[in-house]
Amino acid sequence: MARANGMPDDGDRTRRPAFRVLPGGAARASPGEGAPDDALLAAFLVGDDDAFGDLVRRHERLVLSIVRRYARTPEDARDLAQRTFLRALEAARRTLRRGEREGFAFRRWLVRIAVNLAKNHLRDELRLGRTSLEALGPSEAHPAVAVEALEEAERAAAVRAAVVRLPRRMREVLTLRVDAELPFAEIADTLGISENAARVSFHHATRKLRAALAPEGQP
Amino acid sequence: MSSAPACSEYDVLLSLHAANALRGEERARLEAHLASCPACRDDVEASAEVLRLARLPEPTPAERRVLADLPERAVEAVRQGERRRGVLRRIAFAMGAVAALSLVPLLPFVTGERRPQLGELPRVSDVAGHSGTAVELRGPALALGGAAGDRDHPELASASVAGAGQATAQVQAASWQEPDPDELWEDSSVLQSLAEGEETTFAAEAAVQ
Repeated sequence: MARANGMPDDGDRTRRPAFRVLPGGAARASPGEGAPDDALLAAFLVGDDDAFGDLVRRHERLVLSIVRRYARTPEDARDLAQRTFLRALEAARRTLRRGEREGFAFRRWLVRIAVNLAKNHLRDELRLGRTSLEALGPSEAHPAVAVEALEEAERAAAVRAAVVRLPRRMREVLTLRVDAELPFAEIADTLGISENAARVSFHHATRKLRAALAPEGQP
Repeated sequence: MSSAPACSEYDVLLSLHAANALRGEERARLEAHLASCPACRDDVEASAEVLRLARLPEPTPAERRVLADLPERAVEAVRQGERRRGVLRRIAFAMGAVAALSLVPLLPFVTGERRPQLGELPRVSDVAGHSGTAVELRGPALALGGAAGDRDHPELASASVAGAGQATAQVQAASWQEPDPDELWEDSSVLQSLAEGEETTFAAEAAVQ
């Protein structure tokens, strides 16, 4: 289904030649190019600033794809993503200091941390009354230009609001698949559940979204 | 959405197929079923539609501009945090040093030959006028330096004052002087070891930078 199409960027391409924010998920954001994550982190910890910058560029699309849904503004999304990287860096720093490189999974930490931060952010936003469910996500930045587009936008807004209202586990599974385009094996590993449980949660989440979109009285 | 109920045994697979998440044998088996089951085809279509709507729209140019400097900001935030931690570490060291310094006058109680007894604590009325020396005591005072005889350790001035008639020893209370912090600093092996630790820390930080 979802494809992470390349999107032309009007930013400064020469300064940042690596990954940029692309629409949708991050399945094509291959983290395998260049030096391994642990080598980049080790280089950063001895003073190579560019190494951590490269690491952020490598995974920024993945992290942003997870946190964007819960951010009211682009600045919110950037802040959540930055906090994700900083926390993952701390976890990596502790691991490297202990001399442990086996099982070093910076990408997995990033996903876990991003999911947790997104969950907390959503909880705080709703508790503080700073936003409504419908206002979450960047939908307001896409004005509809025709009636059909307006209807489409309304349906999309209804579904996205339903996504945020899903039970936590369902929401996490669904967004890790739809937004981050992770395989179910990786989703299960990230959330600490079985792959089958992740698949069933995804199915139930899909059913709930369909019910939210259905007209009144229709199953 | 779907006009007829889908086959229940394919429920989960239909949703996964709508998300393009099936591979290999599972996918082949479901596609074979879909070829002969319009209800399940409708179900997949309905799920795919709702998942499409659930996806976030593409970032706008304005959004991308905000997000573009994430790597640079993240690096700067890390460096700021390290600088802050460095300052906090030095403050913590300084506080530790002060705390250790404040404990130095108590060392005689820990290592001394005898400990003061409550009954030995002087009262001002006992001391006043004994030797004509201006003696001012405000509770148990310490007499560092141990001028009394061959004692190695300083003891309470009150212990000397309590012995009536030993005027020279009583003067000791009046000649009490504040210890010079610099001397204590140099003399204290505890502080010396702390100082060595600080040098090591600074050297490590210099190496990192």
